[in-house]
Amino acid sequence: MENERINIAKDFSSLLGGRYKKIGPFSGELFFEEVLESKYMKAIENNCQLEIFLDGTRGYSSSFLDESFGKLARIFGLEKVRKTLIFRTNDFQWVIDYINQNVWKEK
Amino acid sequence: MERKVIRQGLAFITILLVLIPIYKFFYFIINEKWFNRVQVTNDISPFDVFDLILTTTVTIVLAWFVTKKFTESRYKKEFVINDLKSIEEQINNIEKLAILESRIDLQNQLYNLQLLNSTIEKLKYSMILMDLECQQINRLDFYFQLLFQETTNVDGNEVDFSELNRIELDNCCRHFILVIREIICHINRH
Repeated sequence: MENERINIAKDFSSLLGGRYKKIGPFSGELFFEEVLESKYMKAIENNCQLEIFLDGTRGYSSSFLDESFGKLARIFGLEKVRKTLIFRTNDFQWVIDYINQNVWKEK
Repeated sequence: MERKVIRQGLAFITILLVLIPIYKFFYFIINEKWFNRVQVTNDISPFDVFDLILTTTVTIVLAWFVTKKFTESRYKKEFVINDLKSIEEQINNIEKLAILESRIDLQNQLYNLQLLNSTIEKLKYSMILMDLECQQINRLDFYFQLLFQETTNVDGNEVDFSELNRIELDNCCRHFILVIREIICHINRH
């Protein structure tokens, strides 16, 4: 089975916002609700992985990352999310490090 | 304290090692009347010519090698130190922005941070290429992530600096800059 894919710049926006959808456009909350959650569920149903392409955006705010990828881990469990998601990037390796070390920090 | 004592001990031994031969040399010159025994001759043996050529060649090659190594090493250090100064300047700009502006567009802040990260990455790669080792370099990533977290944890599309915890931001920038200065000192020393 082929992996599910999300290209954030193409499938959502290249200009990403902050945390909440009611305060600004292209927020982490909106990304979670409209793109990430459904693609993740699909990947779980099909027993495959979800590839996330980070390049092409102007950058990611810490609140966007927390409200999308952090929320995903809080709802579906950190270990399962870690195993399912694969990040792909040339420009934002530090964002992946940030997600792993801070957003997905084990408590 | 312990380091200081070791350093003073080493300095004392070095001075002794330098002074004893000098004393012995002058003792030999003054008391032994060595110049009475010196004989000057115009004869040149093939060995003398060979010795002269060899000594001159070795001196020139050694001087060239040492100068080249020294210049290369200084160039590498200057190159890396300039990158470090540039990182410090960018951190200062981010901090200044937080003091002068009450709100800035999130995209501008993300751009500033991306530039800062790009300079850090260039520095790290340059240090690998130039075989310069420094353990503190990984701490730059830690403070960058902290600065990123502090300045982009926003609900909407603007960074409201009046809502930021200024003391935390100041601490983060200060530690970041101190690490940079530690790295500069480390590179200069080695």
